[in-house]
Amino acid sequence: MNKERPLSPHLQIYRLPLCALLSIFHRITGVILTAGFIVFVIWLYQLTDANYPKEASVIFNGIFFKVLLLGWAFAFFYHLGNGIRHLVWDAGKGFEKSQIELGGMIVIFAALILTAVYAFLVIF
Amino acid sequence: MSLRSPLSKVSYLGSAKAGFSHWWSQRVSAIAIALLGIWLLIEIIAWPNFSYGELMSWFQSPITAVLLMLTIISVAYHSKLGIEVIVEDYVHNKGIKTLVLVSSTLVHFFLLALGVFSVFILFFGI
Repeated sequence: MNKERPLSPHLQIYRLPLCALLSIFHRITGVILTAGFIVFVIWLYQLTDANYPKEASVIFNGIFFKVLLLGWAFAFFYHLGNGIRHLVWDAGKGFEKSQIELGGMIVIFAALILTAVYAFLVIF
Repeated sequence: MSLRSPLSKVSYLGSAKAGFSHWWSQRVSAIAIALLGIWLLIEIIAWPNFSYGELMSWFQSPITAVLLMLTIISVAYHSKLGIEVIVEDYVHNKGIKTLVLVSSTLVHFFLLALGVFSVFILFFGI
């Protein structure tokens, strides 16, 4: 067999369509949210320690906390929006190519707008 | 009448009716987290204005304690199911895959117990 024959799709140069990018981003945000869950549970556990310094427990005014919170909020809003898109597909609806593209765009903009609104509420 | 033998049903030739519950549980827990996650994000908005005492009294509200516990349970469950799917898709070595899946299950149960127990302690006061 001729080993020089082209492979298709060639993953290193193949430009992923929007739908595929959103799919992998759903998984990435899922893993980020799992990391957030681990941090949240460890923080809850630390609070139960009576010797834990009282002033160190309230760190929410720091920029570090707000950056992390907004990062996780964006991951949550994206994962939520794309999750709803998956539920629509599970119901057997929205499989036309134009609907898939439109749904993807809605999910991206919804996540950005919700994060912006949330950032406004957290910062002010 | 189905002409499929019981053997064909379990040997990669179609549904053995076990995958459905994984898929269904993932969606039910997702709906729970959609509601609980939005609740928690809204609650967190008030935190920067909290003193240590105010944060502790937030934890001592029964509604907070119950909703936090439900959040921890549903997130631990949903995360376990999701990580399983990712590992099954990308880890191809059978030994490593089994090791990672078992570790993930144990870590998720640990986080579940630690989180729920911490909410209990915070509710009753340190």
